[in-house]
Amino acid sequence: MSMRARVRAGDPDAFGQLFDDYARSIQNHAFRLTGNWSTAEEVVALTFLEAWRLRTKVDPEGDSLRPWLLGIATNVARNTTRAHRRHAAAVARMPEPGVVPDFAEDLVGRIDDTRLVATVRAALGKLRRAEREVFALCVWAGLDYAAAAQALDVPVGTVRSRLSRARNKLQKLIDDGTLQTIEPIGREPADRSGQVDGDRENAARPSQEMTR
Amino acid sequence: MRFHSSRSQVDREQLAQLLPAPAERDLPESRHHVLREYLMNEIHHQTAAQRTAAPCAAGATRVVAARPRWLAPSLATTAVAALALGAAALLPTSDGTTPGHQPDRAATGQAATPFEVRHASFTLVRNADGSITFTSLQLVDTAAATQALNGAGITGRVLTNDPSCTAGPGGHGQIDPAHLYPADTLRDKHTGLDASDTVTFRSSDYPQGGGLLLAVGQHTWKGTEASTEYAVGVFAYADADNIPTCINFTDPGTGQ
Repeated sequence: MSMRARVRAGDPDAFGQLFDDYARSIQNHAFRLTGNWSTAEEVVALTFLEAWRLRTKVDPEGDSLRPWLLGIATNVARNTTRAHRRHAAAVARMPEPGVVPDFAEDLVGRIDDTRLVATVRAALGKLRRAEREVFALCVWAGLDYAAAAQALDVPVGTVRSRLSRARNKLQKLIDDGTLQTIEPIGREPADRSGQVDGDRENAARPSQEMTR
Repeated sequence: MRFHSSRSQVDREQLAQLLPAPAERDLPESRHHVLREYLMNEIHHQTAAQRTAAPCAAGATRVVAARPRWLAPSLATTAVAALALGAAALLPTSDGTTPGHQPDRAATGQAATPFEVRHASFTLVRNADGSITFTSLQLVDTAAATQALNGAGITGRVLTNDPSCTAGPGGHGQIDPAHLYPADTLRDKHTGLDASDTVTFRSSDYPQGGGLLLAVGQHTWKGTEASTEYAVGVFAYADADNIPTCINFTDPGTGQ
């Protein structure tokens, strides 16, 4: 029985397998959209609850279910409140958020990571939400246009045009000096002036504050 | 196809250079375990709950919607009654039929024909089993939504809250419980567990000559998570003529 068939049939072990395979992917995607590791962890839990709820809607044909899960995670990250209400009873039983991993053993890396995250989030802030989501799915999560279209339930042309708008906006930010090319982790620390103007502190702040 | 995917690959690589992804992190082993256990428990919990609470298994009509918050003040008590009576509605009637198991009028002949309306304010899709799924994307264009609803083979109309609509009998925003199907049940068919912008219903949800009222509500959240949500209430009427032409759930106390 294929994974898709098992998911559609509501086989709990299939969901355990999906969790093992994709929880990390979902968590990273959620972090890039929300900028907060605790929220990202919550999005992971809600995404799999949503996946269980929507299991019968899975297309019987197709390859990996990763795009499907990333699509759900995108929706959950977009509106955590709605997901909370949909799973009110389950949310009440949700484990307390874990302690955000401490990267004390690699302090420099952590600082750079925080700075990069802040800069990237500030740049992302210049994009519309729909463009941001397509960017995160296609560029960072590595989905091709067709998979991203399927994940977001929009036509492929829409994905392409949103990504194209995102590119133009980012290019414009670079061209006019607002955004200097950001050095990814592992290279020399980025030039301080490479910060996106504006409030980095604000960009680094959790974008969503959850209440229980 | 190859051309497209390779081009897509190049595009994505160029974009990644513009804005690199923050470093990936592993879900720590302990958290992975905790969250996985949580998921598995919830799945078992829900599976067990469904087994005990499934009065009619195959083909059971289930509306995914829930009582919208904006219905709460005036409908809270009646909604509780509706829950109790809603359960009764699933029991066989005197002629031995079960309302939820009536053959779909839309399903006979029409179901095979794909029907899908995508409007800026809503989507309406006829599913393979003949049921209709309606999603409110924003406060719907009621005329277009009603047209789509009727086009899909469902009698009735789609309305949004109209503060200028005069108060109807019983203070339920023009929804007279006596006109609902089954009578005297404020049958929004909601479980009361949550509210949803997506509802699924079918023509067998109302009797011949009857129809459905889809009431689309709006709820605006304020604060750090400011957003606007939409919730759809589904009301079945025994006689389509009694479906109101406007609804007003504005709470005089709060103006909400």
